Amino acid sequence: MRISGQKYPANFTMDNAFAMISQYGANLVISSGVSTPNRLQSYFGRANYSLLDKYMFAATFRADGSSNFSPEHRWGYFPAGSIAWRISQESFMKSIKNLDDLKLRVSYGEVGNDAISADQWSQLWAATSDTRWQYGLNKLLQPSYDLASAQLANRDLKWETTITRNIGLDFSLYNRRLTGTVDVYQNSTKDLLMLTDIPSITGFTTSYANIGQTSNKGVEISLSGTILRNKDWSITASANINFNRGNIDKLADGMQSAYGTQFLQSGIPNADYKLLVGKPVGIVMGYQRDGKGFYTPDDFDFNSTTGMYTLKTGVADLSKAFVAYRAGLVPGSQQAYPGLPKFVDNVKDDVIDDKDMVEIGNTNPKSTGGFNLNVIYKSFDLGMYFNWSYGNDIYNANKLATLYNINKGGGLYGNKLAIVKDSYTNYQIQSGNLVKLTTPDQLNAANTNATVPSTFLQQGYVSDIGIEDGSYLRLNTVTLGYTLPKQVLSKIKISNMRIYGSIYNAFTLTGYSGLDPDVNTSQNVNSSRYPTPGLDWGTYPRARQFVIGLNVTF
Amino acid sequence: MKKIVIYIFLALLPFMFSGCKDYLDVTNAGQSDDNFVMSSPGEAFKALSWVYAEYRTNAAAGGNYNWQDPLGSDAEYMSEYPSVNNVIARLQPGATTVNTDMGIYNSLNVALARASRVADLIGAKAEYQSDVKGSVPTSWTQLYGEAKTLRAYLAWELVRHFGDVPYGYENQVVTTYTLTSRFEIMDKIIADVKAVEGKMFVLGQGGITAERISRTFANALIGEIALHAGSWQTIRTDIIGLYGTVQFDTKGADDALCVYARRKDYIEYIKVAEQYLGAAVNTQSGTAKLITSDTRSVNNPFQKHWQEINSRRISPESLFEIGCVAGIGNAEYGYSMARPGSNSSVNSYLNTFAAIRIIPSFFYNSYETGDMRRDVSMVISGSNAATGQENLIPLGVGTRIGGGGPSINKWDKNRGDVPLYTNATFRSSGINYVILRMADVMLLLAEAKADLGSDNAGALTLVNQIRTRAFGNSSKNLSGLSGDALLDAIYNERKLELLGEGAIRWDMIRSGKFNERAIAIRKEMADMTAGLQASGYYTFPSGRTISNYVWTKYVQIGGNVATVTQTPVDTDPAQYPGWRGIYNWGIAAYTATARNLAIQGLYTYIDPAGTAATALVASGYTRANWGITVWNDANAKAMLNAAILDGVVGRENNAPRYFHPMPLTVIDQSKGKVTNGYGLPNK
Repeated sequence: MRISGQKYPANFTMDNAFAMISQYGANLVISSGVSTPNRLQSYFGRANYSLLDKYMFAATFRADGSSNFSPEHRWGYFPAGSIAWRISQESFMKSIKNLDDLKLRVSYGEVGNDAISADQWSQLWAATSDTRWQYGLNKLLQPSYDLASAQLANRDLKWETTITRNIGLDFSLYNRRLTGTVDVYQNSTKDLLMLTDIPSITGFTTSYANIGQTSNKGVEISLSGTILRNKDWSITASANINFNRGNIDKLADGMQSAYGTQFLQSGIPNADYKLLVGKPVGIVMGYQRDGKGFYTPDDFDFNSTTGMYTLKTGVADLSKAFVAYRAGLVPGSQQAYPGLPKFVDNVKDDVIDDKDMVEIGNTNPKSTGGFNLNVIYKSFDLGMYFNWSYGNDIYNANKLATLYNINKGGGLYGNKLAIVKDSYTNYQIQSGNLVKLTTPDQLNAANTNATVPSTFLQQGYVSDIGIEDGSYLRLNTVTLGYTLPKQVLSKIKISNMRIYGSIYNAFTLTGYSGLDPDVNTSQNVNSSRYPTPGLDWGTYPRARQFVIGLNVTF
Repeated sequence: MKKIVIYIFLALLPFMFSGCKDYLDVTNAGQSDDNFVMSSPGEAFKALSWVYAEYRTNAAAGGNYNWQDPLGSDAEYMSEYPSVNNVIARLQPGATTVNTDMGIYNSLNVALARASRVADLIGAKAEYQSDVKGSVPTSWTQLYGEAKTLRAYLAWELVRHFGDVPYGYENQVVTTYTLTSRFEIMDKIIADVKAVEGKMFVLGQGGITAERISRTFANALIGEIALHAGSWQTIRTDIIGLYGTVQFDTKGADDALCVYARRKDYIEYIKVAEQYLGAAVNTQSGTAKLITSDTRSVNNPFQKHWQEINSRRISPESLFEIGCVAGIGNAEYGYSMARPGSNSSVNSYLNTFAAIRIIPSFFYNSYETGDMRRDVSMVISGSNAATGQENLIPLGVGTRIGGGGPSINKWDKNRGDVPLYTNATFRSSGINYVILRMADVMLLLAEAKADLGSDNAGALTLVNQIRTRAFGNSSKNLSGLSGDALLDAIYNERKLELLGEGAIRWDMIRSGKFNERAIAIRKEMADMTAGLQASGYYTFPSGRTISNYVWTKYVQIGGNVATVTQTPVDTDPAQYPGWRGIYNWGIAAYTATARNLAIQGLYTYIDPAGTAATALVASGYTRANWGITVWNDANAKAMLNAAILDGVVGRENNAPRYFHPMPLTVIDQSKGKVTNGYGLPNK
């Protein structure tokens, strides 16, 4: 490769010229870039002390300096410590029967995070190589300088700190036939370091900021035990359960609380998630279905002469935001028509608009857990591994997306989910012709089984039609194996051989209508900066796998 | 052994702590500080180059999708239907979504902040501070003025389209902010530009072309902002104290959200407008001038401006153009704002969406006979990219050549001196965005003079300069007008001169007669529709007739396969109307040997059952639906009813609601201090 540039002014050093080759030489289609290094400097100390094998102490302390922060905020100090007390070793415990081991643990720890790029606290300039940001004079592109970072510099940025606090109990009973742990924890992350939207009146649309504090507290219990063990049988089981409560403890002043997945592109509302102090991350905002969720002829006075549907007094109308064009004959500025979605008018002003939006879903489970069962009978072995989630909502965006007409004509012949067949219809095929249904009797007769509104709105919307109970129980893995007798194998000089069959994702018990209640939509699919847990939008469902295997040891 | 370890540790200890500060101070040769970038006027301009380019890429290129300015007036509309692309043009604020204009709002603010930063840096330089004490402009005083004026222009774009906005918060961490009165903002930016314009180069001086901001444009901008500040507009009434001590006269009813108003001391602003628009036209015009002569045989100086623009040259009439480069994206002229084409892979360059459509009744009833602007401005045929032929654009719902009928003709990819350029792709025609041209400034000056009432003769002289150019002589010059009649004549002249250029809607707003004009055009269309339905044709007061049908036929002109036609030839149906045709694109797939379109019955009625029609069919013409569509096609009827300012219906006595929504982030983080008014969404 050969590159050239010329006529650099005197203030360019050789390094400048190599880093900004595009700055001189007319119409030179060439560019270069150098990234700013990230540097970290750390000091670390540790002390361990153990007394009589009963009392154990550990402490660490680290100091970290990061080039990603301004000189005033470079250094973070992170202590951690733990104490363990083996209670079962105490003399007063010796009298308790069947107790093999009992240990109490207490720990506290802080760790820091500086995972941002290095250019966030100062606002320097850099050469532009993208022609979109090079002006044209007399049909020639002009070199330009942009700011090196698109984010508003924040000199006050500092380390994000995660503090973990934990009290735990480990126990073992009945000659280790029953073991378990109980943990109670409260973890918090303060000075959360995130890219955040800021109002563009600053000249920037994003900035890194220490945006607030979140915490998780909860209890984790796990037990495992041997149910039966003899010459032919061995049955063991284990189970764990976790009750976690997330919380937003505080948000920085002026932090944006509403944020959107924008799966609807230009839907209503634009921001479908909300950060609320005192609530967990994962609150979904939207409209509540009123009654069946769509207008029926009963909501209107029908004029059989003109064919006009006039809303009855007290029935709220839709705002213009929902309907790009009229569905049928309606008076004045009325938008509502049989089949259009009908929502609860929470502020009672007879019009459904953004003031009527409420919290419609919480995607956090009340509890999650799993249990395993292992059975060995002679040469056969069986293992089953279950997991479950209880009490969480899933935000089924796939379902909501199928309820509107994405991309106008571009959606022609596009696939739709099966629920569309249950949607309200204003048309019917009669003797081979598509006929528009206009009278209440025609509409009622054609829509006795309708469960969702008409799907021909150009504007998408978020409503509780898309919020579903996401509880599930899944048999994640089931394995059945058979180990061939040793005496057979020894003749062919094989020390061990096992044949087995496994099914992964064997079955799921759930009321969720989507493909997989264990949703894991990538946050990058959405344009949101903050997490959107529980969103099902284009999630690829987990496959069911059948595996047959052979283990051979020579 | 242990001791050795300790000694090594102790020996290293001082080095561990020394130099750590340096170690964490990182540098990057690709990044420069302010002094580096401001080292010379040439380097400093590169920082402004970015600002101009940001405006081009993210504001101007959004074009009518963002502003919809040329899509909602009593002459222009958009025929896509159903569509959310013209809800603000239709005056339907409730039908938009809160982040519809996030891109352009953010872009204008980002560009404004950068212009501020550049201005502040130049202002702090010793060279500038020394130069500004001198009596003549220098490179540094020009650059400083350019940055300040660019900032003012961007603020003006914000104020015009969003109304009252948070202002003055750029380049800092902001946690508390509120709305600033648009009148306060306009006062500030007028003062900013007044303070710098005297030390800027006029056009042509110091190497400054219309692709950069000059003193000439700065003067015109002061005038334009002042004229807007002192004219009718819709103000908010839902925020107490927003406008401080400013007093207003109002028209129509206040709906508790907004009212149509003009400040009581408006005349002070009109005086400023007259002074600075006058300077831009006369003393500080530099090389910018109204094109009044044309050495070509067509002798149409009005068209000369458009010939320059379509040929990707700076027009001598321009005060300010945003510079584009052919082959580089972001050129809306030639795509959403141009004569229609179709979307075909055979010649994707001709893919021309053509959002700007001419209201059919305006097409027939607006221009007087002999006005050479008519065919240059409007067209009823477009480019078929699949066949290389000129196609009739039917009336009714549709985009490109698929519907919409009469369209803007000022920008046409067939028209430039060399239509085909290297790497020709659609949306990258390289046609500059003309921000302001002399005819516009002259008519604004005439408006200011008529508003003041002190120089009616001067106002008429200006209008008559425009009319003389349009008609090729002074036979249609106006005289003896004053007061409202003079103002109406000026607004009408602006409509004829500036069709499709995004000005007419603002004229309607400023005039204080928005609703009257909207109601009048809707009635004109209703009368036309009823007439067509009743008789099969409708004759306008202009004497021109629209009919249910026209007859078309592909022909050659002068033995040529395809011709870009010029001045209208009344006797040749392929050259009447004029300024259309199609370029011979030289593509192998184009096999038709006759690609120009002859049209019969466009302006006069031909009885479809009569002998004339039979004769046309016998000579190879085909009958095509024309006016019939507007009454016989329910979809077309619904579209025309909605697209032509239907937001006025039911609000005839309320303020026009033409503003755009500020995006959610600005609303959400303001702690309730900033809201969208006028019935716009807030979530």
